[in-house]
Amino acid sequence: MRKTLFFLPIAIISLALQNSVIARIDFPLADPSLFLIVVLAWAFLEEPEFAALQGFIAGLLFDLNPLSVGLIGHWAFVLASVCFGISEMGVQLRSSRRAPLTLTVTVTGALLITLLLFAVTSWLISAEQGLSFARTAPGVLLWSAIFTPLLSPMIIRLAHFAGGASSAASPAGILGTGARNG
Amino acid sequence: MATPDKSRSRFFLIALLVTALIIVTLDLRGTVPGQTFRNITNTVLAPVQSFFRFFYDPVSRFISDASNIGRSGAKISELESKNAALKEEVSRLSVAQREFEALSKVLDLAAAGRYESVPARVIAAGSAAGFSRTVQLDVGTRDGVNEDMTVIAGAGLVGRVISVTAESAIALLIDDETFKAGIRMEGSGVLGVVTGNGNSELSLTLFDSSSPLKVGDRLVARGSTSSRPFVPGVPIGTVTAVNQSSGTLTKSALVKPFVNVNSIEVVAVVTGKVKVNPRDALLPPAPKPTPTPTVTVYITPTPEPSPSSSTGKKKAKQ
Repeated sequence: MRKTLFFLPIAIISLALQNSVIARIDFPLADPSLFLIVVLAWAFLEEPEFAALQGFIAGLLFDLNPLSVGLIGHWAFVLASVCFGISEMGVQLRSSRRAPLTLTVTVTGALLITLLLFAVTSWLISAEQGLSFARTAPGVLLWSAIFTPLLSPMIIRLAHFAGGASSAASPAGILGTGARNG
Repeated sequence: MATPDKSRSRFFLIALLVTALIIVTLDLRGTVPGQTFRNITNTVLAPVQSFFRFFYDPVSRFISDASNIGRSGAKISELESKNAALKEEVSRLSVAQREFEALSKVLDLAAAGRYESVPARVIAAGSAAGFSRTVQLDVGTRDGVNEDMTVIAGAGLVGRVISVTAESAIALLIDDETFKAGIRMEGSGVLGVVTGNGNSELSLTLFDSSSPLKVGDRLVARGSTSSRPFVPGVPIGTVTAVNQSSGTLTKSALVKPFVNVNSIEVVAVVTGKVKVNPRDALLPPAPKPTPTPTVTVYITPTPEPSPSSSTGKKKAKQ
């Protein structure tokens, strides 16, 4: 829960940074999505249950971003499922979870799945969004591959700090602080 | 490990996904006041964004300045020689300048009373990964800006305002996938619709498939009732490719907009109603077609009794 409380300001700050700085720089291909990188990397280091909740909150925030025009709840759906998945993968990887290369590969892969899932669900509910997926995705993924290793030390440190020292030692530690037994 | 933990977290995920789907459904049905919620998010994000802008704006200025630093030494001597040449040109241009001033006064007069507008600065933009091509402007209801107002730049249409708070407004850009605008072809006045594609070109659909459409044709906004969301006559773009498929009821083409929405910094929001439709008057002067060599041959007829050759001159084009 402590991590979720930490996550909210981080998500808000990265979204604000995305809106006011990143999106205004004319990057070649497409602009990098700092917000999605931060959300996915954070989820990767989190326990599945909380990752899903944080993905849901981040998605809702992205839906309610004043600059977005899609249906509210759409990103919440996509990010909750992808964050749960990436976190499940993180649990499987255990010790190599914190290696920057693992993080980069997983986050970029998850970003591809995120965009794909958004485009497909968009097509299913015939919202007129996500059609530019094929054009947008290569740029977004390329920038993710470049930005994630740069951001990973900061995200890992923040996640470590947010989780508290005890949880860093054992993955069950975070959940152990909750009501249930590990 | 199929522990209760795992099934519990799966159940939690499913609960979240169902919640998300319920929200989507409610929004589809229009029962969620989405704009109200987005305005609340805007209130939260605005101070953080202006904080980042405070740092980013000097940096972006510095980057553009820094790109000139290395060249200063060589530039001085280059500029000195240029200065001499320019002095000479100034005297020559002063005549043209007077003409230009007179012309621009006429144009200003013509523009006055057509579009009542407020200038605005772009302060934030939607991301490509978010699939929404929107920008945030630093004008709001206190400047007289309201929803469904036309946003223009020097070259033509930029988009329309989709939401507004007291101090800022969100504009949907012309290249967003949900963007649609009624258009009128220059000259012929044939009506159609342009839609954004999420890239640098728009799709054009003409209602009348028999009307002529060719590359280089230009289009302007048709204008809406009470000038909202679109005022009539705003230049939109030039046709770059025509879809040749026949047998359809409509005709389609690709259009390159006059405004490059990726690099806009300053725009204007049209706040007033337009009383007189400017038609094609706001389009830039048509590009001059490259002249095809034409040879005119005059033949003096030899005096002949036949009445058919007594036309005097014969004009032949090659």
